[in-house]
Amino acid sequence: MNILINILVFVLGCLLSVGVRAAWPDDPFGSPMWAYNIERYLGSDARVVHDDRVNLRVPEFAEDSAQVPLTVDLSAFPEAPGQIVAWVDLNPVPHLFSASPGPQPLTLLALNFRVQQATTVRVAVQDREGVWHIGSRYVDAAGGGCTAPSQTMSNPDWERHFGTIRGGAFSRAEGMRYKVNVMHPMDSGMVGNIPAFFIGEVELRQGNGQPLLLSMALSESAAENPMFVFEFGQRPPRATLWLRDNNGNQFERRLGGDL
Amino acid sequence: MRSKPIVKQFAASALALAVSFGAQAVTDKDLMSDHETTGDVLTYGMGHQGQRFSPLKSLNSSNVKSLQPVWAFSFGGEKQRGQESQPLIADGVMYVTGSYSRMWAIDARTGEELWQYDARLPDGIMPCCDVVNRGAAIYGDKVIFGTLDAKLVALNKDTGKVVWIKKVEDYQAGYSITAAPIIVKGKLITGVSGGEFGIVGKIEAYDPDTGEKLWSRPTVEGHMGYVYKDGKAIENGISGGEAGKTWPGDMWKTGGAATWLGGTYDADTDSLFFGTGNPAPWNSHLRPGDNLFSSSRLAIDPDDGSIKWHFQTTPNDGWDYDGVNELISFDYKDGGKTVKAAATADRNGFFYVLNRENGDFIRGFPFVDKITWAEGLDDKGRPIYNTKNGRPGNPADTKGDKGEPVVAQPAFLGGKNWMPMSFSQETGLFYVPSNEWSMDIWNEPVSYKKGAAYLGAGFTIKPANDEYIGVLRAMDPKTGKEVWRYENPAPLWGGVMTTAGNLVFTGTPEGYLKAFDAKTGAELYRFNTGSGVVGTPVTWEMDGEQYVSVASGWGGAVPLWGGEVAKVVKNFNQGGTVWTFKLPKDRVASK
Repeated sequence: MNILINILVFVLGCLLSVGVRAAWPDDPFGSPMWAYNIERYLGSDARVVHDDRVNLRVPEFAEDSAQVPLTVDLSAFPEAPGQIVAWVDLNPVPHLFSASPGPQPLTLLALNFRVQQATTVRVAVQDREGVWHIGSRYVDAAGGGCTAPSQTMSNPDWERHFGTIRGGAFSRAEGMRYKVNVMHPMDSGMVGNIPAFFIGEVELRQGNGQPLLLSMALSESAAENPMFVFEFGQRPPRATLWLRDNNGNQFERRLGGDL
Repeated sequence: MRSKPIVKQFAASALALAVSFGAQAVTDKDLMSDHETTGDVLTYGMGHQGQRFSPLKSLNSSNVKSLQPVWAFSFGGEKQRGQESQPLIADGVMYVTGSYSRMWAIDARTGEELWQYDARLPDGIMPCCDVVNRGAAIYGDKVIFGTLDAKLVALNKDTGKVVWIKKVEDYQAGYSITAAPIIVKGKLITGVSGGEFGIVGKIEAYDPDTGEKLWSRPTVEGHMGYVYKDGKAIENGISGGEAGKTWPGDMWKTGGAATWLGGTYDADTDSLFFGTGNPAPWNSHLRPGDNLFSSSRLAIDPDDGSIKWHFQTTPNDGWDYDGVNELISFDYKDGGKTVKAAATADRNGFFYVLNRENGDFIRGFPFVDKITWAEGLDDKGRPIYNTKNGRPGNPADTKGDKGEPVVAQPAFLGGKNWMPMSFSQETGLFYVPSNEWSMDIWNEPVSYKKGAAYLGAGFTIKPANDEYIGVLRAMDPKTGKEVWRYENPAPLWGGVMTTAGNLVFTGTPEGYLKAFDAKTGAELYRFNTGSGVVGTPVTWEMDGEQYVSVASGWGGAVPLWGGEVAKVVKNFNQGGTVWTFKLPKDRVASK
């Protein structure tokens, strides 16, 4: 229903071209998907500003279109970030993730993603006032990352390592760093005869009834065997990573606390 | 008019779907009355008793010729073969499973897809007899089915999203699930497949809302049953009392008796009726004794999984005569007295009528033209073996590895296999999809190895006649008389449905959905679906019109194991489509 409304809004937006939506700044990269994706992922009435303090790091050229590292460094962001939404403009499913940090200030988030062709990547961070601060980068790429079969698919023995989580918690000068790698094919469903099979829900839990450190909705643009990095400004006592894929498989691993 | 950010949108889209189909939760009461309600098909078997009889009459033997296809839905991709499913219909939505553990929700009016679910299967799955699935169960807001890697998956029926997934057994030991689970008294009941790999069969109950295990009942004598409370397993008695009564040595530990075809439920006696597969290995000389509870029908208490009674059709089976075929509850009058009976047409060629209150044998008779392995049944229903050349010889009696071969009829694929028969309340007859074939079978030494085929036998199947293999039979359960038969060139491998409109529906590997006059057997309708029909038809009423649906897609055990039957079936093409037909309103009165 909402999707329908979105499409309707978009069509109206095209016809009227001004008036319906908030005034958005121009895209320095000139992407054809700039306004469309803001509207789709942030809403037509979203207030949007460019902000370098949403420090996005991606390689200039994706050596491997199926494994492109993305780091969102928020250490310069002036307040604890609210909602974070990331998308890859020209991917078939542009949405990469939506993250909701808990009360602990999130200072860095990283994961690897796929690119289907050279494209701009966006990360939008919402502040306390509801304004979206957008960081943008451009990744050049040979492409095809979303529609190439996963390497897992060529391994008949894949189930042996499936769901294996390697990771840990690392103390930083100020705060805590969690680094986790999960063995999962993360099939996008866009390769013939390989159904969609990916982790869609990620939670970093403190346990003991404490609020979540982070919850995250992942989409098909996330890469195979994803590697997550989360950094927080303070040291949570403990954390458990919990994941669930679209087949209902759940994975859990304790990361922090009394190691 | 404003759009919402994506985070909210994810949650909201599920809601939107739910609203647009006015989806109602399916209750225990709905399931228990499924055989009477004509607007839906909520159970595998069109009613828990498994009669596959619809009281609908608007489509009948005088107007069935006007039945028209309304839509066809392709299962897509390359995974076309082996569509043995029976669709469910609820609130104008069809839920149909496909091969390779897939499920679709389809708008039953238009054939448009609402959602699709593909289980991600490991490469090492071991289905003995093709990658089939026979159907789903529906309960509350969930549809639930079993997968080829021996898991149960519960999906939200409106969104197709996984609510829970539960590993029932280890697929690497040879387990899988192909049958439709059933929901009885708020419990999800399932069996397991894998009898050819020396697994141990069992029947288990799960909480349909959470996937939590409630009880487990092994079907091989000597194994402990359990009920589960607060995550703790509590012993609930060894099946058969103790090990070793009907099995030699340790053979019971890998005894087979897979419950691979699921079961039925009878509310009158509050019993689940599950059949069990062949004992493992096939070589019966390795396991002298009756080998309980292999090749049997079991009456199970749905509350805790206890065995109320059993009836073994083929003790010490040596021919792969699984006893899994559906036991259908029905009542009949005998001298003014109502008999609470149940009937089954076994792989071994005999049709059995049992007292469903206590499992007593009422009568039995062959439903195939020839049976070589037994001379008949005694007054308890136990086979009188042909001791001369009925059983393949013991390899220990010969010099080489190979025992003396015999020609046995029916072949191991059975006088009737998995494809469900149907009982008409109008005619009082059973409509049995059967096959006429024989096999050469010989025994060999074998020992158990986890995950490897555990047979100890070689075999090849031959058609019994040149002209036909498949025979659809109308059988009178009171007399054992065959009232009529329809002969089909290829082996019949699809389920049967009857209606109060004097109709019998089934499909053929040649691709036809066919309708017959229930009284005379006259063929009244045929439509070619483009690939062999090995699914089971259903019928329901929607917007005042009667609909019929059947899955099409050649496959199953025949092309894999059929031996010389290949001559007949090798040119049948694969499909992967569900077809839906209706009788348009204006044709109802036409003669």
